[in-house]
Amino acid sequence: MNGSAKARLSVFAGIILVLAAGALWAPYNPIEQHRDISNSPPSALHWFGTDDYGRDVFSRFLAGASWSVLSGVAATVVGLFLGWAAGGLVGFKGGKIDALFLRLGDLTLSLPWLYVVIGLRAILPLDLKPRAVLATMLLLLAFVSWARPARLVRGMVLNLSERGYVEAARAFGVPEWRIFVRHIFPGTLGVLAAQALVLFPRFVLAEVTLSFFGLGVSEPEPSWGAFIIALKQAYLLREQWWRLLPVLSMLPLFLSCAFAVRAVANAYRASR
Amino acid sequence: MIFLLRKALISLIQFFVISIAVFLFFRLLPGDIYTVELENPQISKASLEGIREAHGLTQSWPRRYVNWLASSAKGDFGDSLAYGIPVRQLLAPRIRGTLEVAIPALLLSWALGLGGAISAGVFGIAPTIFEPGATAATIVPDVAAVSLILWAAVWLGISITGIWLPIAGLTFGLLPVVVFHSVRELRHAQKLEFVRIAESRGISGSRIWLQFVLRAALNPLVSLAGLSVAAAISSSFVVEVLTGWPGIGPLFLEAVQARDYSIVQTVLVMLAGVLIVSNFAAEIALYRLDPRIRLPHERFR
Repeated sequence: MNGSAKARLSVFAGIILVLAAGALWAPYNPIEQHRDISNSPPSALHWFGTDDYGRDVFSRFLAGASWSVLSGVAATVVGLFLGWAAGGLVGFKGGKIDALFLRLGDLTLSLPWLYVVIGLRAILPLDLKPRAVLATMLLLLAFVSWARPARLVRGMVLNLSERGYVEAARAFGVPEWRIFVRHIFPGTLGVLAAQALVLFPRFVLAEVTLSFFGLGVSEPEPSWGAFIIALKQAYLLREQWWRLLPVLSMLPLFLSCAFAVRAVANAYRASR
Repeated sequence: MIFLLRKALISLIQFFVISIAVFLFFRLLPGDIYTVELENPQISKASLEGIREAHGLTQSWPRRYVNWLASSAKGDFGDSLAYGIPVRQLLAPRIRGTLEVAIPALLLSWALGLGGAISAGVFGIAPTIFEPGATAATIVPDVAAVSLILWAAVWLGISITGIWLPIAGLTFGLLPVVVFHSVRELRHAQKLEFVRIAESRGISGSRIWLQFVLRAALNPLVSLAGLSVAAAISSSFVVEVLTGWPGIGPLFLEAVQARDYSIVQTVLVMLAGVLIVSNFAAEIALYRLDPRIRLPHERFR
């Protein structure tokens, strides 16, 4: 991995850290209301202005960032782990379970994920606590997104199992689980890293989208989805342009992630 | 032919698995719509049981599944609990609404994405020129993108009630993926040996792109086209809700919030059906396009 790739990855990691810790360094209490200064434009005291209830939008942006980024990271970990475990297992074992796995993967890949997640959300109580919402959404998202990483890992494992050093290990009588842990698992890490960077922004976006539809984190807890609700009101935007600020401030996260994906993909290509 | 039959069988099994899963999912919930009535002092427990039985709610679930499937096949999806009218009446105009947006957007994004990449090649520009733009488009959240289009329209004083708005929003959501894959496949195909040989034989640029590169790159793109229907339906959800377009999305969202399960399950099964059919259509197209798929035992590499 060359210098520029490392730089891109560290920028991305830095942005994630800053946003994940957002709730800690928010200048004001994100749910405290000051009705006397509601809907005020950006100022030195309130960088992004204030909302209808006079709450500091910048603080709400940061606190919402913590929700979005942390849930994105957690969902990535869960989804990747499911995908990695499933793909690794069937790739290594093969046989009937492999065929079943492929069909199952086809099935989940061809579902319209948004409808599925929202449909699954339907059967849960609507007035859950924000934390409970977060946990359920994580599981729902991991459930619909295991297939793609699983397929990649499976292909990778199949490929690695045919390598000379694996056969050599087998010939020496190394137990199967040890072959998997020592010789095959390290080879799948590159795919996992790239997939993590591909999945992470999608999970954050999914969290934003669900909150936007009122099915995720709910008022008065701050969330990124809620900022986009404000954008729906076109007349409001004409009067209060600063409503765009929190939305624009989401972009560096996604931008740095896109750059990081490129960096990892190039490094991976170069290493082969 | 056996290949196609096998694929058709698999698609059919997929459909039944999904429909059973959806059906069971909503049956797993404790209670049914009459559970609330237990609190109602005007209805006795016995008469409630009578109502349950009359509606077939006391039967075993495989039986109820078969009944549900049979009536669905006849076009009777039950009544919406929230609206009190047949689901079919509610859904029909919404399906039309979604199709009016999704089909033009799909065609437009493929025409612009693949067409743009190919014509860049024909005019001697590397198709990779589109990649930065596509990257920029993927980092904007769908919901924010549509809002921005909306905002720009209001700012410019253009009417925001037309159908162009959801179509533009959906196209914006679909285009980047199409561009990425088109560019990647074209670039890959461009490096194949027979393309280089054709080049060295002095065949003109446009013929090379259309007859050699495009045809060699078509195979994965056809599969992607099948999958992009799923993407279109998911993104269309967001776009419809944001722009207030009367498609399936807003109805589904309302149904979820009102716990109108008959609508939710009908929509889920129906969409799964649409996607399975579109993937199957992609398989047929692949089968027609690529002789290697027809006879797997004679496959060469």
